[in-house]
Amino acid sequence: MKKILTSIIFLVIFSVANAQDNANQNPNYKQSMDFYQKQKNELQQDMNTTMQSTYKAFDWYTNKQEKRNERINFRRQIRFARASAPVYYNQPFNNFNGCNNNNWRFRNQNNWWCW
Amino acid sequence: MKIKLSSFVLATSLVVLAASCSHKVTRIDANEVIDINGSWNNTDSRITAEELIKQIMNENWLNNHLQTKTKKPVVIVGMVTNKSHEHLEAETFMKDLERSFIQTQRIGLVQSGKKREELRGEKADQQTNASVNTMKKFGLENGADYILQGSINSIVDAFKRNKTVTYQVNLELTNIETNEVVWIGEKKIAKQVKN
Repeated sequence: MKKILTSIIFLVIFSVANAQDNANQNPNYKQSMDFYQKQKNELQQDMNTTMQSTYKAFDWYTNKQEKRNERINFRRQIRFARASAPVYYNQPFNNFNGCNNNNWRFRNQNNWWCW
Repeated sequence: MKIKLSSFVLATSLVVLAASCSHKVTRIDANEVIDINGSWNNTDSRITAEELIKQIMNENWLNNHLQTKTKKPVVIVGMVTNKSHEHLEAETFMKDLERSFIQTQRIGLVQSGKKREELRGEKADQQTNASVNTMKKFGLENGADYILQGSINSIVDAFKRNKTVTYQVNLELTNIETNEVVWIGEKKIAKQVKN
């Protein structure tokens, strides 16, 4: 009998507390719940990971090194293009042999060449 | 001619031998401070972890939780956003932090992210393949009380060969039910680099 009484009292206390909680709950909570239930997988997939959103900081020294590397690469490309271009001997640059302003030009002694 | 050829072979082999000896690997202590080019390194990660562990374990939020609730707080680790100028992984110090939760037994930890997905996948597999006695049920996971999220920022000031870099690591602990931020941890690391 005592046990039953104790459990009834406990149940009453619990239900009163629960009712108080429910009374305080926003009546429109279901709208939000449905909204987030639909996209919960997307929202949780980045958990426990590091999202990389880095920026490029200006550093004078690094910038100088980068420019130097760019220059080296550019010269290498020119050398490569020069080496892989077909050789037309004794055909210096003029406006009539297919060269225009978009072509690369270089000078060998007094002759201008292009590709 | 023969002498010339043999001396050339000898010289070449000496050069090759010298080049092969230049590669050297030395084991070092993981706690040793070695700064090479001034970027984020293992020492920064370790210092950050130590500082944040000290802060999260000793600040008021833990006592406040234990006073209002009988059980120890359960934390889930959320996302850390790296907004600095370098690519760096927060997992190195976050794992140290998680490890301290488990070692001290004062804060509970639940799995999150892809590991949790894998875990649920295994549980789903057990529903059809494991014996009834050993099969683990769905819907009995521990719900987290708090979520731990963070951000890493940096400030770079450089002119010619001089540079100062300041990293700021922030972690925030938020009550999932009430949305209340209960703790913010912070660690700043500043360096001066001369190239």
